[in-house]
Formats: sequence, structure tokens, C-alpha cells
Amino acid sequence: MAKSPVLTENSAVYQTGFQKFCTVFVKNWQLHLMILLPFAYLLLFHYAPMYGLQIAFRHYSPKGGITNSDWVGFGQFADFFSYYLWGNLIWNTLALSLYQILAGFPIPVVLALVIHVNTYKGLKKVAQNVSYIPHFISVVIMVGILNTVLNPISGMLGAYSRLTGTDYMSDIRGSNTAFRHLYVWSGIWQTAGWSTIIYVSALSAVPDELHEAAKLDGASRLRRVWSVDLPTIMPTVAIMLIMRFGSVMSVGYQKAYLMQNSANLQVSEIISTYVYKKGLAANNLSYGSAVGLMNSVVNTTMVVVVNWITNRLTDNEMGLF
Amino acid sequence: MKKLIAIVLALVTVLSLCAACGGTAAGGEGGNNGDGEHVKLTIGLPTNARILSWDDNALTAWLEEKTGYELEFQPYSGGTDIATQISTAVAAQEELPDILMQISLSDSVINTYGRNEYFVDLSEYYADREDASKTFWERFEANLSEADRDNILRQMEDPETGAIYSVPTLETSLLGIMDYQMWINVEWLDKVGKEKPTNNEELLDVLRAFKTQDPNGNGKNDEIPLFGAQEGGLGADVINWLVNLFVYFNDRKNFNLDENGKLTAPFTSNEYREALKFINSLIKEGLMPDSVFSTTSPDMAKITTPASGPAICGIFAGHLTLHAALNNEILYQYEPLQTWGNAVYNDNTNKRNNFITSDCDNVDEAFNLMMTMWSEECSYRIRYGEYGVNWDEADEGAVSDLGLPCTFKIIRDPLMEQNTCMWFGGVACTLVVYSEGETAQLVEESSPWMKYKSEVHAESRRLFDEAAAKNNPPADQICPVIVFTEDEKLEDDDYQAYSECCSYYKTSRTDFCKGTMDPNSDADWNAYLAKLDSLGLKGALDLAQFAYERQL
Repeated sequence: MAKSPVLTENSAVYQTGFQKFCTVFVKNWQLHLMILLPFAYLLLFHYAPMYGLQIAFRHYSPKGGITNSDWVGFGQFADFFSYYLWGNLIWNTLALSLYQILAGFPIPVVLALVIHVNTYKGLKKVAQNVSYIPHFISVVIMVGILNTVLNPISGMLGAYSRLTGTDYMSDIRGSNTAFRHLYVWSGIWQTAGWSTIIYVSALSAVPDELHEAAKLDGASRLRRVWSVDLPTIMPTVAIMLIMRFGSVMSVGYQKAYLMQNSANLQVSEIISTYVYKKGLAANNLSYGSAVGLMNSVVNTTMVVVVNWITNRLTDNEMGLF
Repeated sequence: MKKLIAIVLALVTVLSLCAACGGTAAGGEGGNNGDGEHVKLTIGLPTNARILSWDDNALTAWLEEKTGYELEFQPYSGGTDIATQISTAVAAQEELPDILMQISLSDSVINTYGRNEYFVDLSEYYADREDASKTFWERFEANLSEADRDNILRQMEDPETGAIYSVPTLETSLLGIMDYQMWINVEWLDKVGKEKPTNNEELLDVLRAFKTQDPNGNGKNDEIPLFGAQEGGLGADVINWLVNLFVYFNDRKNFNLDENGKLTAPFTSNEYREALKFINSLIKEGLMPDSVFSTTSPDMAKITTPASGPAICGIFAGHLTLHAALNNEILYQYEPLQTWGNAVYNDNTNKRNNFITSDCDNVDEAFNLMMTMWSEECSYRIRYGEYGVNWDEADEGAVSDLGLPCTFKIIRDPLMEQNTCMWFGGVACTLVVYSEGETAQLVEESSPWMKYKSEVHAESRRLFDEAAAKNNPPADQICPVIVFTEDEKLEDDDYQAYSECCSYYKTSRTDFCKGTMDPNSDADWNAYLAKLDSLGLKGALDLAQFAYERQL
């Protein structure tokens, strides 16, 4: 076996770390050119705006701008935590988000397995396409559909009452108890199909040899799903779960805001709708930024915690980092 | 070659990304100013589906001819989100249009923009009563009482600096500012053999009859005895109307005055609790659906004037035009219902919603344009469209439905149809005339709808005057809009208490009405009062009293 030449600083082919980096960079310049765009995107839209985060610690005035507005330290945070409903806001956000994860996370996995085990190719494609379509409905239209269907007088429920001659039903859209169910399950209906894509893709990478071996051992189809398919896609599931927990406090404001009315405000007011109203609509940008920053800190903490738990449970095999 | 193309494409993509981060230029290049030469003004205003074009528009043409300025438009879409768009543009240091028109912003936001010089302080123009703002003052003084003028001027000013950042839109007609008008189905009344109710017991009696006697005659149990919408405005808030049967309460003001000039919180009174019990019982008995809390007023039309089939609604709240499918037969079944409680009207007539921005190079001209819009002729053009086509001068001796001398003649009201003769629904920047039934003359060409509208408007006005004559509400209980300073809002804990108490009583009102909290339970009621106390209601009242006395 040939011995590698010993390189010293004086050797002609010796390269410093930076030079090595340059060599590799130039050698794979096409790949680096491709990464330039997402890199620029991240830099411009995710890192550069962090400069503006300082307004969470200032009393922002348009005239003073980001750097010349008065410092107020943690004043905006103190204001939020002295708001009489701050606990309610956090609970509403967490409850909605956790419900979404608990109810919504397993369904795409199951759906992907169902699609995967289906041997009729045509049916498989139809099922995939049909389940994808709701994803393309906008939030506004989605809430419009909900309102149209659930209106107890002029909607489908109202038509049912008239048809059966019964009294109009109580308005489910204004029910505190129904709000979270409506929010979550309409979301599942809308996104479950689309969310299967990544799992269907992971399942397609399951080696046939594993299935062949399991078949020889006499495993049924269901057993193979449990013992072959599921374990194979588990790392993907774990990563998706960790990332999902990373946005546990980031329930988007649009749908909750659109579904909100005076009767369900107690549960429909979440951090993002509150930030929208106080920060943007009422032009209190510093306050909105402070609450948003607090949200992001919690989200980051959640990623770290869930990643740690995952690592503990899987002997450091499935954690994101 | 391929490498070169790849590099160029990548650079173009990255540069385009960078370009997206830059500010966008709003408005056009301003023309010359001062010399009356070519002046171009950009006007930012909300979109409206009824206006087919602002550029090719009779009002625009008339204003351009009258002023000699070229007008350009920058429509904003998004309804209530327009304030957010403006806020974002200001935060991003984007250029604003020369004039913002019909943009609803909170007083706090307006003052912030004004103090930060995003809006021009127009005090000097208003001070020049003989020239620059002559039209404003002439019409202001001719159309408003001294008390109203004082009230409106106070609201126009920044409470701390005295600066005036807006040219107001004012509605002088009482009818135009009326709220919570109820309409009753008189055909149903005939069928169930009842008269219009004049007290709570009779109201209950009528509602029960509507529910049980199948007044629409279709054999189905589909009647809604009482309906309204708490959201969406336009006076459809049936809950407020019901509360005012028991206690005078204007939830825009939150507080009332007592005989000693002290502010009181009507939402802690026993009368208020009785009102909540009454509303709760209506919902429990099925006389009013609980969907009033989640229906928006624009959605009400589907219920109050269904596209097909018989009427399903007995009594409902709201501005007539809300429920008006043009020439809908069902509409004509409804007549105004007189309140036996307190007639609530929106006396917050000053809309601070027209501004000249600091990006405007032609402030004199922009203000002049607004003054032109404040002229009487333009007010009619803004509301009723083109002179000679949509409206004209009244015939000599003509008398309106209300019996008053007519000031103008309506030929064809364009408000409810798509048109190119006005800018935004009815109002833009003017002293508004809402005069159907009051001082308008109708002619043969006027549609049946217009005639009907005129009649019921006149009737509404008569009923309102009647209630007002009975001192309902008691004039000395009506609290003006209280203006807090920015320092109070930012620094004073009592202001936070004020805003939290208002938020809490409004949420609780819905809970009491729906039965989530029981208004009949002393424990629930006392818990509600205790919560208000713990939020600092006393401090809130003290602060509001202080602010109120400052205004006197």
C-alpha cells in the first residue's frame, strides 16, 4: 500500500484551511452558485431584519426610526405581562397549537402509509390528487366555506333546520367550545393530503429487500407496515415533529382572525391576532415586536427541548442536532 | 457559454431579490407649485366595487376643471386592513400619496403620524378664515350648532399640541347618523293580529306570536322573530337597542354623566343587568338566535331579504340600505319601529379621515382641493353624482316627505349601483348631505326604491325627533367622546385599566346574553363586578373624569 506523502508547511502542495476551502469552492462552483440564491434569501429576509428587532426595546416612533427611537428596555414586555389577559393569550395559543399537533401530525403519516400500501396505481394517484386539492384553497375562502356551511340560518345547517322543521340550531361559529375543533379539523382537512408528500417520498425509499425478507418470514401486509415501513420513515417523522414544535407558539393570525367574533373571543384571541391588532392595526410596532420576540424565544426553546427529548428517546439517532 | 449564462442568470435572480427589498415609489412626480401651473395630486383612497373608475369619472373631471389640478389615484383595498397598510408603509419609510382620503385611523395613530410629520399640520390654513379655509368655516357655522362645533373642533385637534392634521368628513343630517333603527314586518303583524309594540311586554307578545303563528304562511317553523348583527356596523347592533330599552348606554362612549356631572359606568347598573336578563331570556326562548353575535351586518341581507321565498324575519336592526336588495318586495313589508327606551345616535360625526401627507409638494393646492370638495355643490356631487343627470335644483315650492322645503331634487341616486360619477360610495371629503326624506324632492324618474327610502327615512326622522322630545335619552346623561392625551395612554396605569375594563365588559356582555355567564345568578353578577373592580374601574373613571373636565 502506497504511503501518503507527508506534507509540511514548506511542501509545494500544502494548503491552509482557507485555501482548501477556496479550492473546494471553485471546484464545485456550480453547486455554490445554486446555493447562492437561497443563501441570499436567508440573509436578506431572515437575518437582515433582525437588526430591526431592537425596536422591541424602544418606543418606536416613525420619525426616530429604528435607531433613534427612545430606549425603554423591557418596558414593552412588562406591558404585555401586565395585560390582564396575557395568560389567556398564551394558553389559547398553546392549546390550539398542541391540539393541531396532536390531532394533525399523525394523520398525514397514516394517510401516507395508506396511499403507499395501495397497490392500485390509478387509485393511488386519484387519492393523492384529491387529498392535495384542499391545500390550494386560500385561508379566506376556507373560512368563507366554514361560514357558509355552518351558518345556522342562511347556511347549510339552516337549510337542514328548515327541511326538518326543527328550531334553528345554536350558532357553532360563536361557540367557545367549538372554535378549536373547527379550527383544527378544518385545517387537517385542508393540509393532511399535502403533508403526506414528504412521507410518501420517504416511503418510496424503503428497500424492497426488507419487504422481501419480511414476506419470507411470513409477515402480513399490516405487519410489514408496522415493522418495515414505519421504522424506515421514523427519522423523517421525528425531524418533522421537532420542526413542528419549533413553531408551537406561531399559530398564524389569519385564520383565527377571520374566524373570530365577539362570541368566541375568549378562545380565539391568540398571540398572533393580538399582535396584529395591537402592533400593526393600532400602530404600536414596538409592543408587537416585543410580543413577537417573546414568541420566537419560546419557539426556539421548544425546538431545543423537543430535540433533546428525541435524542434521549432514540439514543441520539433521530435528533435534528 | 453555459457557464456564462448560468452566472448571468444567477446574478439577475439575486439582484432582483435585492430590488424587492427596496422601497417602492408611491404616487407620481408632483407638478410645479405656487404659480398655479401644472399641479398633479395623488390621492390614496379605499377601493369600492361600485366605482368603476376614478380616472374616467364625472366627479374627477369636475374637480379637475374647477381647480385646474391633475388628479391621480392610488386605491387601497382591504377594508379595515388599510390602516395596517399605511402603518407598514410609514414604518418602511415608503412614500405616501399626497392626500389620504377616507382612511380610517385611530386618533392615537393620527396624532403619532402628525407629530412625526407624516401628516401636515393644517392649523395655519384653518386660521386663515377669510381665504384658505373660508368655505370650511362658512359651511361649518351654517350647518352646525355651537355645541356641535365646539365638540367637533375639539376632536379635530391633537389634545397636546393643538395641531389639526385632517380635513373632516362631517354628516350634518341627524338621519345620516342615526343608529340602531329597528324595522318591523307589518304584514306579519297583520297576520298575527297585533299592533306595533310599545313596551317590553308587548314586544315579547309580538315576538312569541311571530314564532308560533307561522306568519309567513309556508307551514314551516322558519321564522326569526328578532334579528341583528353585533359586528359590521351600520346600526345593526340589536343588542345595544335592547340594552337601551332599560338604560341609556352608548358603547362608543362607555360612560354616562350623572346629574352632578360625574361620569358613571352604566354597565355596572342594575338596569343594565335587567337588560342582560331580558336578552338572555329572548335567546333561551328562541325569540332571537344567538348568531347575532357572529353575523356581520353585510351578511344580514341574506336573512332579512332572502333571494327567494317568503320573509323569515320579524324585527331587525340596522340601516335601511343594509337590507335593501333593490326593489325587493319583501323590503316593503318593513316599517320603522319606535323605541320606547332611549334613542341612541352616533354623535361622533367628525371623521378625521382626510389628510395631507408630508410627501405632498403642493400642500396649498391639496388643501384647496379639499376646500373645493367642502363646497355645497361638491357635497351634492359627492353624494348624489352628476348635476343635471343624477340630481338637480329643486322646483320652486317643492316640499319633502318630512314637510320641509326642498333644497335639491334627486333624479337618479347612483349610490347603490356601479357608476363613474362619484368616488367612494357616498362620501369622500365633505360636509355630507344625507337628505332623502328630509329636504330632497323626488320626481317621476326617481325609482320606487328611492321613493320608499325617502318615505321611511322621513318616518324614521319623525320617530327619532319624537323620542328626543321625550328626553330619551336624557340630554344631561350624554357623555361626549373623551379624548385622552398620548402621555395618559402611554404612561398612566389608569388608562390601561380603562381599556381593560371596556374590553372586559364588552366580552362579558356577550357571555351574559348567551348564558355562558348567568345574569340571573348573583354569584356571576358579583364576580363580574369584582373583576371590573380588580381591573381598576375606579381609577379608570377618575382618569376619564379628569380628561372630561379638561375638555369642558
